[in-house]
Amino acid sequence: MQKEKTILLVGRPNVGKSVIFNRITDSYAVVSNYPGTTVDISTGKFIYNQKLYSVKDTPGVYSLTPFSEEEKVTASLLKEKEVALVVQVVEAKNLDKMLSLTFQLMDTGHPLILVVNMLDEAKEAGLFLDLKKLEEKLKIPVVGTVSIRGQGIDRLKRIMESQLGPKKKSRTKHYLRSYPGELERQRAAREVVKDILISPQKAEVSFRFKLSLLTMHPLWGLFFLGLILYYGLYKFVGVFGAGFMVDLMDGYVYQEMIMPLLLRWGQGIPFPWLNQLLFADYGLFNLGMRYSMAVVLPIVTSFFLFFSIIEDSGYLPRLAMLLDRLFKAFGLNGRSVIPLILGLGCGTMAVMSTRTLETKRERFIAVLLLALGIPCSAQLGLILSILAGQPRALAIWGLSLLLILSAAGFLLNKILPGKNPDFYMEIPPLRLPHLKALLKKTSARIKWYMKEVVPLFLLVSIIMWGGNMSGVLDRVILFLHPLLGAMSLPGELAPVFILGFFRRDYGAAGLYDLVKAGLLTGPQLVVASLTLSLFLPCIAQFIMVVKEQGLGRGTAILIIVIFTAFSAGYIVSRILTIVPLL
Amino acid sequence: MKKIRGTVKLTDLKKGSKGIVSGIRSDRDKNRKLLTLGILPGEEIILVQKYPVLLLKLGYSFVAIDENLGKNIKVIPLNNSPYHEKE
Repeated sequence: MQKEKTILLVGRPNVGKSVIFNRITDSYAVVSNYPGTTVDISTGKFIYNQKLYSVKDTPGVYSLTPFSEEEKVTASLLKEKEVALVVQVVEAKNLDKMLSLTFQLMDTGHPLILVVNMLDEAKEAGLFLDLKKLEEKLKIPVVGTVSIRGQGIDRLKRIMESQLGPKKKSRTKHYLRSYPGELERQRAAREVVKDILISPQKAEVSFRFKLSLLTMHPLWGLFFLGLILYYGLYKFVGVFGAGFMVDLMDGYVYQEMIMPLLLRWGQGIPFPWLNQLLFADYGLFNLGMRYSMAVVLPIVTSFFLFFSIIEDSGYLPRLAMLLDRLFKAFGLNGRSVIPLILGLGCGTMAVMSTRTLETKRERFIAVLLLALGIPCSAQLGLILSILAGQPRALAIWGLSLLLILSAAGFLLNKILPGKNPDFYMEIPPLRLPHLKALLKKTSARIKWYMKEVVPLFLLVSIIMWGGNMSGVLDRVILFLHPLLGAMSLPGELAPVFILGFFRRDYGAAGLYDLVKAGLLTGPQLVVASLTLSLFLPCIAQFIMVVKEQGLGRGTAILIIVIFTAFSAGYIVSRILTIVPLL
Repeated sequence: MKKIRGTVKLTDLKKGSKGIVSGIRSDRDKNRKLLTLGILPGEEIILVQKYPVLLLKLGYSFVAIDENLGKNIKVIPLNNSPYHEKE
């Protein structure tokens, strides 16, 4: 079976490559497995002349020299035999910086089309380029587009078709020069752009530009961040996702509509053990299905939507910039912002994304901090909704968590040998996210999460059920009692900690039930929430940690985390008895 | 009292200054990173902000780098005009 020919879409991040991808492929895109937020490959279909071409949206790259993951991936894709066409997308305003990659792509020998996108922004900045002249100079087809408005897309498709068709004459003249290095390429690029520049007009001073500056300002930027955290994380993910949506899904849809149906159906099952497995306290339907679909799914969906928005709007690099100095105190730098914020959504995904960090030292610290104290969205949402009614408890929980994380980071930075890598990042303009792109991204992440979550929840249910049946569970609970007692916590909390071992959000959900039953006092609640937030990553995350860091370091992390969780719980419980803060 | 026509370190510039990059004094890896971001000799830059990181405006793009990278970039300062958007 002959392999499909491929069309590669190449370009820097933030140039609108994905929108172009969506516009030229007309069917369902499959996101494949290079993990992490910046290293995904979407594959779609392009049909011409009854032939099917596979269009690959490569990770954003600045050049082809294979230093980073993205560059290595893109360089290897370009070497494949099936490549029929390369389409490079660049941003009009910054053409002078992006042509360097064009020259590198020309050197690969593949047919190349240059798409000069975001002409609207260039116009806004007062910049006009003579694209025809550019085409004459570079000797490759050049198409101007405004991808979000769909302008230029039809012309692009036609040019793609003409490049894919049979070569009528021998290959037309090529851009003959080849440049030995980056400096030469950059210089050549500057020259070319100077040549095609039509005298710049007056720029409009847009609101967007002023807002952009504000978000990067040391003081206003933090204020803006606070707004985003409040409205985005707290109100949207916490109150809406974890509060309203969970109540809807769990309280109404699941408990009142689905469960009674299942129970009635279950009555017909002749095997009591199966009945137990499905419906008992730790049963598949009561625990596994319920938590994964009705409790966790709504929360994680709202988080992924929130994250996609701050990603596509261009806010993330600004956040990285603002936090760089702070992160340096922990042995990280601003680039770690992505894994750490992803950790607020799903710790497993976050650990995976630490691959994009440059040094081993950074990766270890980030992974440890993620495992130690960054609550995933399901857990965060639940704890926020539990403690929402008691703002002081929430404050103590939050502050203690931050303190412990900071202390851990600070210590690690002192102890571990090595230096911080440098921080450098391009800050794209603030843009209104494209709704379709947002939804596609979010649904891709949810699908990944569901593939991870549901099997594990079901597995946990089975293990718990087995442990319950065999009495092993009871023995583990007994073992935990003295530990909990030292923290002045009731024994009922033990199963919650065990659940937490398998899935952190599980543990928090169990806590939620206990709170609803009114079994915990204020201080107990804080201690329990804190210890749970620190306690063990969920099993999926732990498996990912071992994958990324190896068994030795993974186990070390586990031990450190368990020790810290219980010590912190103990210390806080003592403090709260001495100082009546609640 | 610094000579205005001489080169200074990027980190010595005041917020809002304009300058032309005259050289980068560091190892190949750092060099390459800066190049691909568009920081190369002859390039005109505006130092928009110094804190918490160095924020540079190069043409129509913004690039953020930390002090460690910035102190290796030599710049010829131009007039000390506060930066305005039209450039």
